Amino acid sequence: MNSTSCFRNLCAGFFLMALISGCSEEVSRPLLQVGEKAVPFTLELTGGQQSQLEHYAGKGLVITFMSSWCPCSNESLPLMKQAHATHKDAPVAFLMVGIQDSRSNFENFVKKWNVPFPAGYDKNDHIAKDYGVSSPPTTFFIDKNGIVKRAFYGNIAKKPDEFQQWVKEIIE
Amino acid sequence: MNGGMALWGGFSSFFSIWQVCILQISPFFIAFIAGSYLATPDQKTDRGIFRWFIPSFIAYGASFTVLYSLLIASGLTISRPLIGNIGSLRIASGILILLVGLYILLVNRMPFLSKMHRPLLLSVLSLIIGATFAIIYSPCITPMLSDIMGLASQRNTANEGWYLAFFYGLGISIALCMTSLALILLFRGRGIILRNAGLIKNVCGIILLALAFMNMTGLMRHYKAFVLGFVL
Repeated sequence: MNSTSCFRNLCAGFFLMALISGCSEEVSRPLLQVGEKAVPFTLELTGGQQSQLEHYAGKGLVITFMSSWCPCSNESLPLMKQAHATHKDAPVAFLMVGIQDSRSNFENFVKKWNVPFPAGYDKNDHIAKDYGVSSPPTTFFIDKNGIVKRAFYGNIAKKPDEFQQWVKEIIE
Repeated sequence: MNGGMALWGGFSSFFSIWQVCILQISPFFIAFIAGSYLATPDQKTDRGIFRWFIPSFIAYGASFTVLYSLLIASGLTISRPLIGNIGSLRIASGILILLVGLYILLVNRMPFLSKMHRPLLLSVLSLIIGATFAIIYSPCITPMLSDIMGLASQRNTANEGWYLAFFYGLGISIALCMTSLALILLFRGRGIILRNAGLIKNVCGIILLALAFMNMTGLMRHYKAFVLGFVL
């Protein structure tokens, strides 16, 4: 086989692979924006139940996208747990969504941190795509009317006071 | 925060703990530059190196910075289709990187590719590499980038956020290009490098093919998890 036909065969092989992998891509939906209604989702929780946006109607929701391998996710979790404990009786819920990760690693991460609020693995990052999340950790603050009041990108442990304030904002 | 601070933030992130995150692209860019350098006939003189590579670095920096900042600025109307179709764009990027990898592998073996190998073509390839790397790179959120993304995600501050993201991305590009240039200057005249130029060039091409494969199959996320796992 000469180099030209080798080049041609290599290209054909890779294009075929690209075509096959491209078939699994879904049609995109509009991205979430601050000030707009939160995008409905269905998330399978680690316990096997399903969580949907409608379940949180009438109360605030802090939804955080995290990955087990992400240092900032690991640093953010203690503050998240603390806020959850502080606002246990308030009309606000916390939800963790595992993204850019394997299911088993994410489930181990939830166990390791003994996460006290619902957590679920976002298969193929569908919810993350709808919410326009490119990197973990990203946290959204959704009010009781389902409006996204705020989005925070990065390590929330660096903004502990603001975090408490933002949780209070969606409770009021 | 102003543009200068954002530029410094991006530049310094390259030489800090955040470099672990930039490992998503930095070894592959270095492979591209090293492979191109070893395929270049005019590789021994300063003039030759600058004629071939300075326009390439500018082309890389321009395309990476523009696309990177647009992908950060989710509040801009122009960014929304890009972010919404990021999965498809990553596959397309994989295909383009594949072609560049094949080019590096085959440039000295196929006469028609050797004839095409000119500074202008290298700049075009760098432009492509810059755009594709901006698409495949999923940035770690440094404290400064966190503030920039906060601004860039809201419609009323999206322009300001995009402007800052532009300078932040430019800072990363400058750091990466400086590192690559330093590597080329280190390569120059080294007997061991020149004796094994063919082998090193092939390894560089294969590294780019591996990146293409990871993007086309979705394995890139595991690569990111693998490199960042070392930080934990």
